[in-house]
Amino acid sequence: MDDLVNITVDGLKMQVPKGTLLWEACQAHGIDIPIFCYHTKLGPVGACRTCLVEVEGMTKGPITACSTPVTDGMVVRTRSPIAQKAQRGILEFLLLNHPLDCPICDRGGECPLQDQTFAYGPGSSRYVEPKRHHVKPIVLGPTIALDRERCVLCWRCVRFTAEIAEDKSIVLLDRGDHTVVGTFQDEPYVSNFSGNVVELCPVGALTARKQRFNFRPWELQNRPSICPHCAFGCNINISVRKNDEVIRFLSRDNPEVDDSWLCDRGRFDFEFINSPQRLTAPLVRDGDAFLEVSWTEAFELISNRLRSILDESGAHALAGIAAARMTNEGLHVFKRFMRDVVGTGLVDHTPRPNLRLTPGQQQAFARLGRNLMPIAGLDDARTILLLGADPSEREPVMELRIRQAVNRHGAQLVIANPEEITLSPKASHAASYETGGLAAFIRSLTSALRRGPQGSNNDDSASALVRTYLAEGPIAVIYDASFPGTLDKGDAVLALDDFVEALRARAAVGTLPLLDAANSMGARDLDILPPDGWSSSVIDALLGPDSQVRAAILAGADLAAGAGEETLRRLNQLDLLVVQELFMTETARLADVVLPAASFAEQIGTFTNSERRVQRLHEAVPAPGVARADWEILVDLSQHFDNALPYAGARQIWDDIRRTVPAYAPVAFDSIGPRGVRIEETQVLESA
Amino acid sequence: MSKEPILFKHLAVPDINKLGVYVENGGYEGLRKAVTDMKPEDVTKEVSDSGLRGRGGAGFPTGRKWSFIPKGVLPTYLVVNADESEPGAFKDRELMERNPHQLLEGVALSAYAIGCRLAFIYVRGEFLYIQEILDAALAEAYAGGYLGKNIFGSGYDIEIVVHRGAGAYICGEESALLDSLEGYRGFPRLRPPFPAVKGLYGQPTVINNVETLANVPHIVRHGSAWFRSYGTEKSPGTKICSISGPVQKPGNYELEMGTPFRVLLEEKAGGMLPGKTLKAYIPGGASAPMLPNRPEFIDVPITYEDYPAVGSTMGSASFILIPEDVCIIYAQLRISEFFAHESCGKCIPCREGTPWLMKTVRRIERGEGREDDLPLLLDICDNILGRSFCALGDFSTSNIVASIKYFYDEYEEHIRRRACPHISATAAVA
Repeated sequence: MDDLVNITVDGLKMQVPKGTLLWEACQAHGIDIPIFCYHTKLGPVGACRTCLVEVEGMTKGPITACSTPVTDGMVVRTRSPIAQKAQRGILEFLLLNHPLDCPICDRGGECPLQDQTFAYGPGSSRYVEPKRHHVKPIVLGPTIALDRERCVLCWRCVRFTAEIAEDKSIVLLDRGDHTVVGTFQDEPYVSNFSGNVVELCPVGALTARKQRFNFRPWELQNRPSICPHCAFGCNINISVRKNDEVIRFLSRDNPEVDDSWLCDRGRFDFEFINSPQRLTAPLVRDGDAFLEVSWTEAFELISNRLRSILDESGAHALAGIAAARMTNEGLHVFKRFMRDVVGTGLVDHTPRPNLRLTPGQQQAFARLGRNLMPIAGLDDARTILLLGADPSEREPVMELRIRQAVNRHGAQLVIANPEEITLSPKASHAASYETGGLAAFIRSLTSALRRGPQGSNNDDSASALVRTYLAEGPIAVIYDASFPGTLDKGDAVLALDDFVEALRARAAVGTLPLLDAANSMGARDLDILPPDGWSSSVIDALLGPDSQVRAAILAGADLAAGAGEETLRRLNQLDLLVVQELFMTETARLADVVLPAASFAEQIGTFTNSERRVQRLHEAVPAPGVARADWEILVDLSQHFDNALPYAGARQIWDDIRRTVPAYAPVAFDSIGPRGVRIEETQVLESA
Repeated sequence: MSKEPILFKHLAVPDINKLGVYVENGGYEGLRKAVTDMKPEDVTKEVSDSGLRGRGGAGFPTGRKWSFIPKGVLPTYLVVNADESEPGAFKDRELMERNPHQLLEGVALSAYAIGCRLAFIYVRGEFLYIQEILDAALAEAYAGGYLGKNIFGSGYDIEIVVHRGAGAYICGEESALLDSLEGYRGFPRLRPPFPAVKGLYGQPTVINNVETLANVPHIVRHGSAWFRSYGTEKSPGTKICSISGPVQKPGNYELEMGTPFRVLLEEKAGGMLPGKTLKAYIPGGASAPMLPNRPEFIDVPITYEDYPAVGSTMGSASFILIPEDVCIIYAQLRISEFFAHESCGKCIPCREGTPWLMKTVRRIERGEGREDDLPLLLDICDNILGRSFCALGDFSTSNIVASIKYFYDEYEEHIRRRACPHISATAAVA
């Protein structure tokens, strides 16, 4: 192939794509070259000079591997005396003013400066001058602290804020060896993505204020998982101490999803897992108090009371609502328990779009849910159209993917929103409509599309938008499946479906919905909905004035939180309220039986993200006390009924999901690797 | 100089800075000829044929630099590097101060050659009065129709903007100059892409020194063959030499390339001041390695090619003279302080290395030198040279290496006696 070039590195002949950076080529072939400023997600800056290598024919001394594209016939030596001397020299410079406070440094033990000094650096220092000192730590903002003495000025944080998050908050101040990292005029560094700079920092200069001096890296084990905070499905590593304490979340690069970035909510909001307030044993109401009981006692009590209610009033006297943050396995068992064990169809999930769709609207909504594009496909989009959708609020890391698609791949961003959103300044075109006017706005685009080439010459704004931005694909349409601010959501569904169909007649189109919770897509795919689908809500059936419901199982569904008196009264009135929860929530306080559930970090299972990628959860830490996974609780409870559920583990449940949800059929549990498996559009279509 | 000077020819003409006087003396004739009679590529060819090389110090062939501009990528920019901040250099200042139209004509001609309609002159921060002179000349030239829209009825428009820097040596490095001109902090840029491909505002850009461009009107007017009648085969033309130090007549002198330094020192500058003996001299500003007072170094012809042959560089031809009664370590300390102060901080070798050099030299000068300081200094230089992001790191090493090479005994004496033998200098350092 002519786009490959031959190079020789340390005697090893390799073929690499033309234009590859030398460092990347070496890395791909297992040849390590020390770096500080270079980072694969940020591109070269050439500032630290640590990656100096010898190249045959070089005229001005060794060259930086991080910023030099390979050329055919290049002969490189990374460990020759010249290269070693250069690398050692740079590391000596780096350590001149470094405080060497490794014993108390958060990075000690996982520090590139330590590791690279060990591997490539000088054994001793020749520096006898006093070291440079700075006031420390500097509080950069609410989340981040800065130690300027440890900083090696690699520009990674500066480049992250300039190129990735684009808030340009972190800058270099002063000159020469007075240069320091800081913020313009000491304004606080406030960002939804601040935690990323801690991970990017190759030394212990930037630390998370919540986590400083809390751990030694070598105490920690990293266990792969998925962020539970939104439907985007960012991959994480959970750092665990002594097998039972969650210390931090780190990013786990999945180029298909997060591209190594996390938002601050995802990164920092994990304390709930370790909380001493977690429920650790089943509780049964005793007057105004709760008594700890065994699982068996709890299950017997539930089954006896439930049976008598069902015998008296029929299966429709029981309703069940599950949290959309539960695993696919938990949701599936929940559905099986409700429908097959006790025989009620009154199941639903929460949070969910508050839709009341007619049959026709339901079909349109289902069609929209089928034509999903991959998140990484944003990079290929010519136009990204945000229709009433604000990714920064709902799925923050999508904001970074969109910025990247615009900056590196030349996508045009078109934003239609009644209000300014975070991404608005990034838009090639921003269209506004009156609050509640989404459907009308979409229809104006559809008519412009349908008018065809002549009609779209009209000089109204919709025609101009269509002409300028929607003439050629691929077009990514991102919408918020909750249609916030829209009163007639069903009408918006119809308008959107019609628009996508009209667009598809002209260009390649992909859609992505913004959803509510980590497994909202799973809850939809597994049909955790009332028998009439999106046309009603079990919450209404449960809480409505004419409710026939006498018993409810609420799995992670905190309906009482912030609710009005009427809701509390209804929940109080229930003859049996069973709550599966992590905490004694407002709803749990009203329950007759409270069952302690395991968090996402304490169980094996899967989430399906908003691009329909199935990703694996692992048991990072044990659940507190006798708490169990949601599915396990319901399987055990089912043993007290006639149609006991047969599942012994998540794998077995997954296989049952594959049997009942055709779209998931091709995905074997063991095929779900570290980057998950995205269920392609065609598979969904076939199952429809 | 036996032949007529080129750049300083009209230096003595009263009011040559005024448009009318400049025009009376043949000014803007080259520009008129070019835009009415010549194609842009003819101008480039004439300059290429003349062998004109960059006068900022690097000596890159000017015509070749222009030829790197890709065809059809518009707009293109011409940027004049007037950030003259090399210690010892003051030639561009005089060229701009005394004969601003000569530069403006050169800018317009060169802009025409590369298809540029908006050119910038980046003058160093301290040159406020130079900016005023240039702006006044510009206003006159616009009003007279010599610059601006449709000059000489040719349809060619040229606008020139004078921009003053904020006082950083690094901004004389051409890519950092572009950063600064764009309104950012000046840091050298990664290459490739080279400025000829992606320069100012991401567009093809040529950056030339003041003296380089001042030559262009004369080349266009009189032809490349005439220009080549000056100087040597490899260094055609003349060179403005700045000479400073204890000489009778310090200042700028235009010499034909190839004139020996001895002529500059003894004839032009009138020799050393009474009672002063030359100890060493730096031929090309603080970044050029110093040479001791030995006949073979005093008789070096001033050309791009002859100074490298004796282990130094002509650079911008800024001659700094160090007399016998000045401590060489003290002189070196001043140079090292300059480079540590002016390091931009982007790359590690320069940021960390230049202060280390400075502190070590200062210790030696204060009588606190250690036995292994000299090999240490040389090894630090070795770890900076060719490792730094831009040439400024390299520059910081040249005089350390040269001063240790030629004045090893003086360094050793400082270390052995634990004091500077030149009392006055030591007092100044303490």
